[in-house]
Amino acid sequence: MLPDINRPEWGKLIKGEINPDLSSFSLKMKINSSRQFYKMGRLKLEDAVKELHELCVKYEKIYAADLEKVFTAKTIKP
Amino acid sequence: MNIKAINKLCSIDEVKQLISAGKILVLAGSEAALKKLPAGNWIGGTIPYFMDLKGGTFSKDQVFVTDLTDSLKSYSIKAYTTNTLNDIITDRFDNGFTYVLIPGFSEMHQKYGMGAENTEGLFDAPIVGWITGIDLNDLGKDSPKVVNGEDMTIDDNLAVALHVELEEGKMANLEILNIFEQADGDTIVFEEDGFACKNCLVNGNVKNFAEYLLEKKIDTRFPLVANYSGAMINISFQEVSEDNKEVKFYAPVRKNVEYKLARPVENYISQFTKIVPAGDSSKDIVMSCNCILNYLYSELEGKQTGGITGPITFGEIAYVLVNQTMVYLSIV
Repeated sequence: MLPDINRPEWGKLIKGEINPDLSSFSLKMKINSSRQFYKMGRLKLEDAVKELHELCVKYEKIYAADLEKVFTAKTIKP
Repeated sequence: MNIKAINKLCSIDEVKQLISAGKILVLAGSEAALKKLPAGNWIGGTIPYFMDLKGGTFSKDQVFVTDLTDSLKSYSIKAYTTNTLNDIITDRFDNGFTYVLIPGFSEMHQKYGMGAENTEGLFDAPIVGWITGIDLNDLGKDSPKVVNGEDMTIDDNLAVALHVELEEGKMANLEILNIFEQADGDTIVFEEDGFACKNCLVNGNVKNFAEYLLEKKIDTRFPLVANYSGAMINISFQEVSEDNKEVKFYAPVRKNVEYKLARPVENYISQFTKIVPAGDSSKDIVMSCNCILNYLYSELEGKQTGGITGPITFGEIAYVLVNQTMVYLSIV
């Protein structure tokens, strides 16, 4: 089950405040792109989170292991 | 290995039979070989270098076939000009992937390389593919091309795409295999996006990049590497000009991205085979491609790199343009 969109980890991923060791290439690239667009002001945080969440809904089967890392605090590197 | 799609070198006659049978194909071969084929449900790109089951192979007579017929629900084949290239994003199926071929050294190559990364919605569905090439002995005499097999258009500045829709419950997963990682050492930042540069910032200090590479005697067989939130993205060196004090690349460097030189690799094949998917993790792979620079620098002709096969290319597309990287797509 995908974590709720209101979980703070989504925003922390976009802001670069958490950097879990992910394995999926497309998820890493999406996060990187969202971070850049957010930094440049092309995306508001809430919109970036919405986009990322939607992608994770679509590809939950592929991203499951990575999402577990994101939402399991003890595995997150500062 | 149980690769779902056919991925192998075939004779011209074998490919003709597949086309006649209505198969949906992506073909790689010399221009002369591709011109011998009939129109059908296929796109093609020129390249005479391949990684086949027997190992690295050079052939102008055979064609590498990726048969996606059994992997898809529906498909469309489209060609794009530099003016319509952005449509490739919106033409994708929501549940599927797009396989794109772009001619090497073309304006299209430059435009995709420069533009893809900033395109909205790029990551909504996989875009995978490669930059077409030619026999390296023909550089300057001939140009890489793509073929729209539906109408047999052959061109050196169009992009051709096979948009694939998958059955419900199936999804495409694009991954890369990159043996290079960032070495410790200087941080290099560029002030503009581009396939060439003069100055850069080395640890914050302005420096001519060509002079820097020459002074440090950097081995430019190894790429620049950027860390994209954990994904290692390579930029390969094309030329370091002492006279023009300019460095050219096979993919664009990006403004404000922090690059480092790659940690040198002693033995490509042993490094590569350590990370190549095998067994169950390789069974769903439907396409792959690997870089001509890996083929050349690691002398892959006649050598095997695991069981994954595909064309050897002048650049790889994994959403964005990458270099010295093996790209593969699975359907899960």
